[in-house]
Amino acid sequence: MNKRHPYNNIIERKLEQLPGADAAHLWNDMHAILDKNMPQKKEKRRIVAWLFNDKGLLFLTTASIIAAMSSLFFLSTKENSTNSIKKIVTVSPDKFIEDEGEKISESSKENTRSANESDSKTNNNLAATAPLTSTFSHAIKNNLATKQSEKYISKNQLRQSIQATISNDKEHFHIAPFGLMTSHKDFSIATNYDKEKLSLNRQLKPVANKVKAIIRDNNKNGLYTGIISGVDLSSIHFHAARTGATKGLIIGYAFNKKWSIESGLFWDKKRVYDDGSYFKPPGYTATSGITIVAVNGKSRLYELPLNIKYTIISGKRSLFATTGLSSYFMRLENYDYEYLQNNQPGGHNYISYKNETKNWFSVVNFSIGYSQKLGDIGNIRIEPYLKLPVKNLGTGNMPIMSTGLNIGFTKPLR
Amino acid sequence: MSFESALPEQDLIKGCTLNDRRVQELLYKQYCSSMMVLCKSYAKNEEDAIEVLQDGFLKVFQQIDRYDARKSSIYTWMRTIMIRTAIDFLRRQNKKNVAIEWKEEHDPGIEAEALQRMSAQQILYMLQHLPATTRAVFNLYITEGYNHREIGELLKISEGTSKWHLSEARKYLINSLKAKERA
Repeated sequence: MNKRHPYNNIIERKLEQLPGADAAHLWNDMHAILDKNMPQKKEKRRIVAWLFNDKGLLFLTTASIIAAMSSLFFLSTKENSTNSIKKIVTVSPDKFIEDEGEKISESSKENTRSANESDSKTNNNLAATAPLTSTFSHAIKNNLATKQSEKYISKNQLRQSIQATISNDKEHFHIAPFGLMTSHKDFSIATNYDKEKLSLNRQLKPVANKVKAIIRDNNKNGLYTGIISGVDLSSIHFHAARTGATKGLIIGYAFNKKWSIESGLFWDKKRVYDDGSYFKPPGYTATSGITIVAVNGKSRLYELPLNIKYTIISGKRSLFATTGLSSYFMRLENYDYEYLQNNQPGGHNYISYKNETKNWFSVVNFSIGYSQKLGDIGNIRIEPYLKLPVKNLGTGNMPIMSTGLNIGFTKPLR
Repeated sequence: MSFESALPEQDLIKGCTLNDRRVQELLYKQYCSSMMVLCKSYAKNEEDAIEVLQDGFLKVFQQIDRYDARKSSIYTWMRTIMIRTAIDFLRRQNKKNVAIEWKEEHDPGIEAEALQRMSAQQILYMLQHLPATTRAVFNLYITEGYNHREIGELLKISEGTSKWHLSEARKYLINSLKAKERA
């Protein structure tokens, strides 16, 4: 370096006073030069690119929510048919078996009586009723066994099936006594009835135990905790989404196999872009001739969610949906905005805020997820989500909406 | 709340390294004006200045992965690239010229007050009317603070030639200042 002359600084300062270049116009030329000399990687396939642009993300999220709603509707209709048996078995499986046994035996008794009355020449009621009661037992066993394997036992279906068996066997029963010559009108079937009841109880005992196990399973409740991490795409009204990230801890309480409540603490990093339409930090007043044309925001925040979780399909592989509210606590907000001055490029300004805003229950959460049980270790889950603001967020007062995909691991605390 | 004058350099550099047009645009627009002034001081006219500017930015984007934030700021690094691009441009224009060894002459002084009285446009006008190599030597020596050995290495000329060009530039500026004073 040379020993600088006193007028060096004068020349430098003077040259700095020269009018700036038309950066926007020059950038257009530069863009063309870059495309020629430094072409960007080949565009992703159209559909993939479309899926990851604003409209595609909106479509994916909407489609996911519709799919979840449809599943809920479909499964709720299926649930209605299983509700009746659940009510029975929830009260007392033993009572259910006893009641059903009594009903069956009553039917047997009535049929036997009607048969006896229609043909008073029967001399062997016990012999006549034996094949029938045996058929009943068989019908009940088959019904329960079949339904048990499906994990659904419908009372109505069971009764219908039994009645169908009865009506089919009635014909045999009506025919059978005609061939018998002896007549014992006052033959009591009481003995037969007691034996039948005892036999049914014995046969249904293992079924009752299984039903009890299902009830225990259905009433599964308790705390669980986990970790979650994911990719976040934030935007203002789905315009020009920017990639961010989220990670955090979750804690939940399962009321039963279907319903849970979840909360936690997330560390979010969100990036947003606005064309100046929504960006309005406090104290900002548009100076005449100055227009904000682009805002790039970057926020680091704590997110406190409070969600209700509903398990649509339960089992080793389960499908669930959640909804709830989130509170945002901004830790750091950086906004870089570009402005025009008298329709000429004015330059950039950079604003930074620390711990400036707390937005309580300001975002509505929707998500659907898939969960896979990993034995006794816990569950792994994948959860696409949509977060819609109920009010403007952060110091920039922008309606930041987010979508993304979380991957998490949860473990029951018991 | 705090106001900062500069964009986060690391984000700009990362985006440019990934060949992200959006970030490249941000970097370009942020430094375009200051680099343009630099280019104008090395070029004969505005068209040449724009050519140097665009070539320089292309080199910036192509070589941004080599930038080391520990050594200098992005502005200083870009400024160095722009100067080298301007010198390359000068060489391309003067490639047919044969390098001539010039004898060192007495270094005439320039009155600071006289310079102070001149406008930016007048100074630029004077610079742009200097012969290309003389202008480059003047800029490198006066504005960038290089010594004659460094200038000689950059322009592929001897130290003596560099001194001669500087002397010529000063003579021209003094004459211009005198002419302006008389006017």
